[in-house]
Amino acid sequence: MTCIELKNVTYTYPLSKTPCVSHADLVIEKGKFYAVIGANGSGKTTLCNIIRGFIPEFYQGELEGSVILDGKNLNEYTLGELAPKIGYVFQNPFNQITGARDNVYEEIAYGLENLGVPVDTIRKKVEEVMEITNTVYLAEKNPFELSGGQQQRVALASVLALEPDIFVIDEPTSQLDPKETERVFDIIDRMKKMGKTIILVEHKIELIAKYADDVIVLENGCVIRSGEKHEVLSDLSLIEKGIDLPQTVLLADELQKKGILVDEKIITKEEMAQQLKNLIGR
Amino acid sequence: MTESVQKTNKIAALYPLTKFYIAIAIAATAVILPGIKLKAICFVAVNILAAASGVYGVFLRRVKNSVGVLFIILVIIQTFFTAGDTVLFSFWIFTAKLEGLLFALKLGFILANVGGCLIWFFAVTTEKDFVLALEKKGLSSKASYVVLSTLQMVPVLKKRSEVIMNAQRARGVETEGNLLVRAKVFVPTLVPLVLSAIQGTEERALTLEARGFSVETKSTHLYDIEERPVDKIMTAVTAVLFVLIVIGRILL
Repeated sequence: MTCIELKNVTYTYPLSKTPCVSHADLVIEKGKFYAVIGANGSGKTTLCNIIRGFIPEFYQGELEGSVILDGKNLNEYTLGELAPKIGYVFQNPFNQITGARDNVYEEIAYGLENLGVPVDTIRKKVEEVMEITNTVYLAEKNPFELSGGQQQRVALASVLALEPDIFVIDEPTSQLDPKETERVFDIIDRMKKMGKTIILVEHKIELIAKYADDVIVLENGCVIRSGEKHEVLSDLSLIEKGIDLPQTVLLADELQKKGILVDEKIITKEEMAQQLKNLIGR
Repeated sequence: MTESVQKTNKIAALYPLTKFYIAIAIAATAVILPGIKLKAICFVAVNILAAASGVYGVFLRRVKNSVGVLFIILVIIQTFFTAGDTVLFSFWIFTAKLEGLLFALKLGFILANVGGCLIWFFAVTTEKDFVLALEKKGLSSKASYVVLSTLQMVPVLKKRSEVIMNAQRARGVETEGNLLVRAKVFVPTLVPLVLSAIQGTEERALTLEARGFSVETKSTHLYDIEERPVDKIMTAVTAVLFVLIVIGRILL
C-alpha cells in the first residue's frame, strides 16, 4: 500500500540556479524500509526535507511536482499536522535536543506535551519508547550532558513517542562510533518490525545491505536507481558513480572472474557464508 | 539545592507566583517607605524571610557578591563626591559629607531590598517552576521555550567556549596574559562560538517542528505544579498588607 508518492518533483533552493532534486518519481510503500544512498551533494537531505514538508514551508525555494501523503497533497497539511504523521531524525545529535527540558524523560515527553496528549498516556508512551531505545537508565540525566550516541537514541525515542507511521532519518550514525551505530540500527530495525515505514539516508552500505528492504540511489539530484536491495546493491556500475557497494558484491565479482560461480547478488556476509558453504559442500 | 529546600521548607514550597508577589511587595515597600531606618527594617525582613525559607547561606553569599559590592561602591562614591555642607572627616584630597552618606544609604538600601528580594526568590524557586506558573497565567509556550532553552544553553555555550579556547591555544593563539592579550583572544573565541550557535539554530528549529511545536492545540504538562489554598491566602494577605502600607504612606 502506497503511503507517500513523489510525482515529478523538482526543487531549487533560493538563489540557486540548478535544481537540487530533479524530476524525482518515487513510490514509498507502507511498512517498508528504504535506504537512500548517493555521493555528498546528491540531494539526499533535500529529498528528506521535501518528504517531511520542510520544503517549501521552511526553506522557501521553488518546488515543482507533487508529494502525496495518504492520498492528500503535502501542501494541504500544516507543519504541525505533519509532526505526528512523519517523524524526522537528523544528523547532528546535539542539535536535536530541544533545550526545553532538563532531563531525558521530559525531553522525550516534550512532543507529546505539545500535541496535548493526556499525562497518563504520555507516561505510558515515554516508558515504552525508553525501553525500546534503551534510554531508561538516562531518564534523570540532562540531555545536553549525554554522549552523541546517547543523544541520538534520545532523539529517536522523542520522535518514536509521537507514534508516526513514517520515519525520515537522515544520517543518524555519521557522528557515532561502531557500537552506537549498531545500537541505532537495532532501534531502527525494531521500528521496522513495529510496521513503521522508514526512509533512511546512510553511507554505511553494509548496514543498509543487512537491514533495508529497498534502496534509492541519487546522483546530482536525480533518482538513478531504485528497487529491491539485492537488485540495486549488486549493480557494479554504481561504483563509477561514487557509490560504495558491499564487500561481498566485490568479492563475488572477483570469484566469478576467477571462474568460481557464485550468485552475483550476494550483499551480506551471511549470504556469502551460505554460498561458500554450498560451494564447498558441492 | 532549590529543589531540595522546596521539599522541606513550607515557605520555599509555596507556589512560584505567590513567592514572586511577596518578593515584589517587599521590594516595592522598600521603595515607597520614607527614611533610611524603614528601608533598613525592610532589608532585615528580607533576611529573616531568607533564613525562614532555609536558604540563608546561599542568600547571604549571593547578596555579598552582588548587591553588597554595589552598596559599598555606592557609599564610597556618594560620601566623597556628593556636594554637601556637613563634613564628617577628611583625608588627603577627599572629604566625606553627611549628605552624600545619607543619600548613599537611602539608595543603597533600596538596591539591597530589590536585589535581595530577587535573590531570595530565585533561591527558593526554580526557573522551570516560575516559567510554568507564568505559562499557566497566559505566557505563550513560545516565550516560555525561549526562557527555558536560554537558561539551558548558557552552561552549554560556556563549555563550548572552553573547547574553542583550547583549540585556539593549540593553534598558537595567546590566551593567557595581560588585559590586552585577553582582549585580543576575545574575537577568535567569540566568532566561532556565535557562528556555531547560529548554525545550530536551523536544525533546532526543525527539531522543534518535528516535536509538534507549532501544533495549535492546548499543550499538556508532564511536570506540573498546583496552586494550593495556602498560596491563595498568602497572596491575599500580601496584597492586603501592601495596600495598607500604600494607604499609610499616603495618609502619614
